[in-house]
Amino acid sequence: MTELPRWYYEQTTTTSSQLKDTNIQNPPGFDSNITKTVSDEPSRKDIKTQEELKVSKAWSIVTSSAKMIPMNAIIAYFAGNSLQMFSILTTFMLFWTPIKALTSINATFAPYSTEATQDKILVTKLAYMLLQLVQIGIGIWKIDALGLLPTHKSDWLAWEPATSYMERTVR
Amino acid sequence: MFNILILAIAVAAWHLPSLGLFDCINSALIEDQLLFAGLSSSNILAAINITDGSTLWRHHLPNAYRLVASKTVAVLEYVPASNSTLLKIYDSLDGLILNEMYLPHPAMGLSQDDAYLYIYSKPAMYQVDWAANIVSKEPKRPPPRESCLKTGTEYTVGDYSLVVQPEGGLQTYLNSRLQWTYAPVSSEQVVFVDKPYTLSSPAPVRLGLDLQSWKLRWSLLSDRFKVLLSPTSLKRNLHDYLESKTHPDFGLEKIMVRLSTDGSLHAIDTVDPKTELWSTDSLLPRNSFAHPILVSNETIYVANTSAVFAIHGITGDITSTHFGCVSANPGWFFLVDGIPAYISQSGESVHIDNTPYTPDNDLFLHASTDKDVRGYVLEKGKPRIRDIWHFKAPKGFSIRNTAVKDPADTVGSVGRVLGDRSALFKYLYPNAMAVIMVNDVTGEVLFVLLDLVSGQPLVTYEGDKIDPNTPILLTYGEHYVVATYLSITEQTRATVILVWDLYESYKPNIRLTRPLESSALKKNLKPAVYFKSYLFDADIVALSFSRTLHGITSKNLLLATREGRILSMPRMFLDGRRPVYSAWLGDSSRSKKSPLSKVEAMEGLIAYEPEIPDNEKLLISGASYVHGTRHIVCYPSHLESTLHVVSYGEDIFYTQISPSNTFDMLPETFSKSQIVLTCAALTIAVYILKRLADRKQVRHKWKVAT
Repeated sequence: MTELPRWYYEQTTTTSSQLKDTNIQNPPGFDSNITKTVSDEPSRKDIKTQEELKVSKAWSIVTSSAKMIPMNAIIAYFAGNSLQMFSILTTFMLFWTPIKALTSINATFAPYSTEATQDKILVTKLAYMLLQLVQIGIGIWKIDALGLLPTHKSDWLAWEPATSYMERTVR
Repeated sequence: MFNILILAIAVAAWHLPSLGLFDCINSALIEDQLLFAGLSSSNILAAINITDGSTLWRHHLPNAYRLVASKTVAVLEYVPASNSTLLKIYDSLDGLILNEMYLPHPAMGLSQDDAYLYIYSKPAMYQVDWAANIVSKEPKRPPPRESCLKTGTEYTVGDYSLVVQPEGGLQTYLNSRLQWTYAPVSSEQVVFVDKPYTLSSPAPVRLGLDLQSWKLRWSLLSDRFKVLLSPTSLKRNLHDYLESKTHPDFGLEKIMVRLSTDGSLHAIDTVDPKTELWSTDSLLPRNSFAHPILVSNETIYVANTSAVFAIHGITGDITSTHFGCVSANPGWFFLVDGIPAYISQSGESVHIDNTPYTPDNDLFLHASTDKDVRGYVLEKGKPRIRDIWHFKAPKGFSIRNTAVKDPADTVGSVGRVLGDRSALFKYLYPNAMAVIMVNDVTGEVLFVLLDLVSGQPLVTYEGDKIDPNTPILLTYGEHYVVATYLSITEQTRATVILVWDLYESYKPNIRLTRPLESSALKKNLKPAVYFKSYLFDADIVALSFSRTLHGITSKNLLLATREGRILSMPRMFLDGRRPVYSAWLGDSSRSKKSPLSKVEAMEGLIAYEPEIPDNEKLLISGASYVHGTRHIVCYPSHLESTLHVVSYGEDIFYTQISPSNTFDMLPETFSKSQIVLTCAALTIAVYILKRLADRKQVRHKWKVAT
């Protein structure tokens, strides 16, 4: 029986020793220790960065609502002082949006609220609430401009008591 | 009382024309057409059908003075502008003028024979045929003394016999039976009595939730249903009327009681004025009406010099007579808690049941003559009044007219809203009296607003010089006084309307009276006055302001003119605050094109113009000629928007007006069934579409999932 050629045995058998035993030389500059520095578990430094991200995201929500205020103010100013469809709608939105935001404030900030970030998120919540109240303030100013707030004497005329005179005459 | 009933176009308006007093001199019988033609004391030329007493036609001829009639009616009319005479010949059946003749001088008399008319004037006597052509002219002759008819004598016309009564009425007999009577209608005062509620339509009561209330509700509902199903027919019998009359909805139907100049009361239903509901005999001496008629609930109180009669407003029965409580002395007759009381100027104060009347607080009284106004007080606990003040008209002046506010008038709002949303408070002092005086020699007008408690003048105004004999009318509304008089100058003839608007201050938001209970004796209650004068192109004979239930509706000034029109003028034309634009004032905020500033326009003011334009929109009497009006009275209904208006004197004209349109009544075209159907259709559509939408959403979610 003739022996098979060497290449036959090399190609058909794979053993761990054969795998390990390679004659490939390391290229110059190759550091075989480099893979040993990466690990699966996150380190203490990573946890801290995530918290900051959450807080900064929450603050970005606050700043975006702050940017809405001047825009709303300008829209309210140009809506006009007469009772038209547009001005009624803008006034309604000026009230409805802040109220909706205030009622869902916890839902809005829930993704960013963890045990560690709670205090900072509270501050953001307060700032957010303040800005919504400012928006409601703009709505109230708009209603005053429309003449619907009872700030004048004539609005309370129905409550003005008639003077009763002490003396009585016969006609 | 037999009169033509003219129903105006407006709903519920009617007109009872009066004919006046007929005398024997200017009355004639036309036998061919069975007519009576007469020229009455109020210058009304009328023809009455003898068979039924209906008036065929009537004309108002202010300067006619003599009538004769044969087949046609001939009337002599004086033309004052040219001191001449017109002879007019009217057709007896329709009252149209057939012929006219003009004489350049005044005529003293008119007579007739079979073929001709004879006109007696200073230069000559004219013989004229019945076509108004002069046949001959003879030398002057005195007019004959015979009269056309004699009073008290029966005149036979066909089968009928007519009597002209000495009092100016007419009676006609057929076969010795009284066929009809004409009695002159002249009203001194008119009051309204609310119609009663009957079982079929009950008075609105607040029913509770207990079993008794539910039982009552059920019985009322079934009664109403029964009335709905049974045919309703108007019954003339008074008893049936009370039982079965239709529901007096919203106070728009009332019983009108008028005091005739002969002292008797007559009641008519405002819905059906042809039928007289009841009448009484003469209760008061003729032409002496010292005290007003008082109405309390359904009882009418009438006071003459010795007794007070209590008359039931619905049935007309004299329920009681009270003697000894009123006297012939001048005094005050008024209601205290629904019961009349009388205070005599010299004697004691009593209720009508002769119990002494002592007020809880001091009561201030006043009496005015043409030279002065005197003030009295009936103090708490004292039996007699005492003098406290005396206001004398200045030397040479006489008091022409006085006016006080109507105590029953309710005020809608204590302030007037201005354009910048501030409020100007109205001067609502109830104890003020407007007095207008005229100098008998120079004709100067003097207006004073007098405080009836202290006798002090609160407002004084000196006006232009007018003709001292011109009558001046005065009326005091909510917080404004209006005076009118006729002004005839070389250039113009117009009615001048003077308006004083009274407010508590010239500055807005300031109230004069703080604290809210004020005493005129402790504090000066002078108003801020806005005065304007206007010109109007009609002779005004009566004035009144409208009055509604809550005082919210705009006020209108009701005017009666001498030409027989009744006008309703909105008060915004007569506002004392109408801004004046004058180029001289140099006010840069105004210009001729836009004389109002923005704030004034917001308030609803009109720029001041001296003339108030007269247009058809002001007219409420339609085509009727309303003759001889002396008074106008407004009475509220249970609806805020509508009120009753009556003008009386000679003719009686009644209507209902809504100065701010009928904002609280559904229009007749309103379809209740349509709105119910629309709501039902919408509800069904909402349910169907909701189901469809839910199904669509579910399908969409399933699609997305897969």
